Amino acid sequence: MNQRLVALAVLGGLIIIAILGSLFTVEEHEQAIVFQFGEAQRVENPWGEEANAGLKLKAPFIEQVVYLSRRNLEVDLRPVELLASDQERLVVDAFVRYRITDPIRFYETLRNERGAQDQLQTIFDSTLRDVLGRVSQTDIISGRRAELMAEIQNVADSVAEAEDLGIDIIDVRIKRADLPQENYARVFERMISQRTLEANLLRAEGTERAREISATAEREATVIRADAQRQAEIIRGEGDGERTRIFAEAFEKDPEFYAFYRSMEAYRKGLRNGTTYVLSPDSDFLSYLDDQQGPRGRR
Amino acid sequence: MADNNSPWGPKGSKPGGNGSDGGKSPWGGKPSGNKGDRSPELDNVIEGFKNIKRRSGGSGGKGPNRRPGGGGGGGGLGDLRLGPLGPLGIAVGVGLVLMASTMVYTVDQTERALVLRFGDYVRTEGPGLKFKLPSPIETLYKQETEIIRRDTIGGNDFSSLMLTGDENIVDIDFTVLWRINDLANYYFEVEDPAGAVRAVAESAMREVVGKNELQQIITTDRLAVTTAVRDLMQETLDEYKAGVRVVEVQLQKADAPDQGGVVDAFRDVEDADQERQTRINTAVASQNTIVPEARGEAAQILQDAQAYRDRVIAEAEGEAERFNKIYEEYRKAPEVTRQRLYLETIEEVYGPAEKVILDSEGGSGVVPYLPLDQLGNRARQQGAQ
Repeated sequence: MNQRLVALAVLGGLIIIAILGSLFTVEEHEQAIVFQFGEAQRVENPWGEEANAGLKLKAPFIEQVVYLSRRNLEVDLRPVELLASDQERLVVDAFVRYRITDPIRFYETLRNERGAQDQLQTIFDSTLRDVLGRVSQTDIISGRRAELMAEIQNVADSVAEAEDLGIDIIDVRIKRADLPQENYARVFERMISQRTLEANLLRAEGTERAREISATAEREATVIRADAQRQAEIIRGEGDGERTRIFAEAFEKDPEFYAFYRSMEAYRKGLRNGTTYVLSPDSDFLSYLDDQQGPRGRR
Repeated sequence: MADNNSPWGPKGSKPGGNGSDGGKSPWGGKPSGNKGDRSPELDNVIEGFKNIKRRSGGSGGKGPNRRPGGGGGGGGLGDLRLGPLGPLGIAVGVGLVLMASTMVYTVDQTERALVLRFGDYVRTEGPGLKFKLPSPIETLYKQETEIIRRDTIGGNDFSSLMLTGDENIVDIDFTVLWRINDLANYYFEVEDPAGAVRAVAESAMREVVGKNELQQIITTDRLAVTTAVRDLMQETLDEYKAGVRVVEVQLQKADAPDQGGVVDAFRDVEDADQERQTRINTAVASQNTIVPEARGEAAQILQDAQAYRDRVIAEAEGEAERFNKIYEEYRKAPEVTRQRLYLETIEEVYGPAEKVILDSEGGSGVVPYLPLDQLGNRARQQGAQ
């Protein structure tokens, strides 16, 4: 009884193992190579065909499965220090995205993603130097960055194709293209000198504008005053002219009387108190003092 | 790789993280596609045990110790079945319960779930209580797709320094806000999509910064830079079919570098700009004083002149009128008036004055002595009184 039970259990176990061994699953994001005694037989859910994931059959024990990714994979490259065509040093840090397009070739040449990473690192070390060494630093940093990335991708893709690695390089991106840290101090100095220059210019501009404004203001003030002075003289002249005209008009009637009258006025004002007069009795004023007939009598 | 011959063995990365997953339970691991397959198998096993029991019962029926005072063999058999089948029944029951528990799951409002049947993508489920075939037939991959993820890039000394288009260095820390907008692509298309977002962000930011000038980046173009980075990132990630939507790129910091006194130099430029404005303002202020003052002065000068003119004219008119009046009267009696005017004037003039009268005829031949200095003194004393 015990032997039968054991035999049955062993048989059942073998059946279960056989069933388990003949089934395998491939996930949507995987492709699976089926090997028979180490020889690749077929690929399940390969890239480039309609997705065909799910439960798969294989011959138990004799067929083995190796899974590879079907996704877009990343290789983060080591930073490369290179010399641009204008002898400027640059540290370029890039990453690559690729996809396994031919799993069997991929398995043959690179075995796994780790192998791909090493191989791509080697390819890109030289590709980056080749492509970026031909152009100037400014082109790498700004002007033609996108274009250069496309070129690097093309070169690397053709290398990968030539080596028949079973991969497709989807994208190459320069993450960083910066100066080596030793060169920063130099750039900082230049930036500071540029700023100093700018600051000085701003201050000088301020002084310039201020002087200009002050001078303009002073000129304006002077002109305003001078103009007023000119008008004032004209107005005074008008007054003086009018005065002259009024006098002339009045005094013209009898110039002789005016002379007399005005003389009298002038004496009154001009001959002040305290003046000592030496008079002759012959004078008009004293004419009656001398002779009651007055000047007429003497004449 | 050689030990991958078991279909469940190498699936360490099995999605969903379901505990009862991955063939750990012998029942869960049963690879049969549906219940129809399983039932005959189970029946066979049960049948097998039945047979064993029956045979053992038949052969060992003499044994009195098995059932003391045993009646019918059938009754004994029925009792015997419960004994060995008990643990098996319990195991089957527990297996079924475990399986059933993997058929029900919930998806949170913030989540979406991918349902995979033996790894093959079947459907995407939204929030709520959902059902699926038990593990490992159908497995789940859940992610919080609606939640916005933040990635802050930069922050340490040198990785945040970037070269600008005018070959300056700018210090930039920024944050990328993103979320999953296509969970299937996010899971199936790209290895480490979150890492890809970071790498693409760094690349895009440096590309955009490399195209712009320092002054613009740190002042006016901050928004333009973030928009350009977002667009460039989105474009690249769409190329990868990463299933990621870049919501926003925020510049935490976009300044001149702290190192080497560069920041001070930049601040000095700002100071200089302020100083420039101050100088100009001071000048304008003095202009605003000088010019109106001059205008006031000018008005004064004009008013003075007008006053002078009006005064002079008025005086002239008055004087002329006075003369005219006198002249009118004079014409009526010229001789008398003239005499009167003369005498009145002389009277006024000579009246208070010192006078010396000398007869010119009588004094001829004699030189009269005139103490002119004394006369002058007296006159002065009089004037003082």
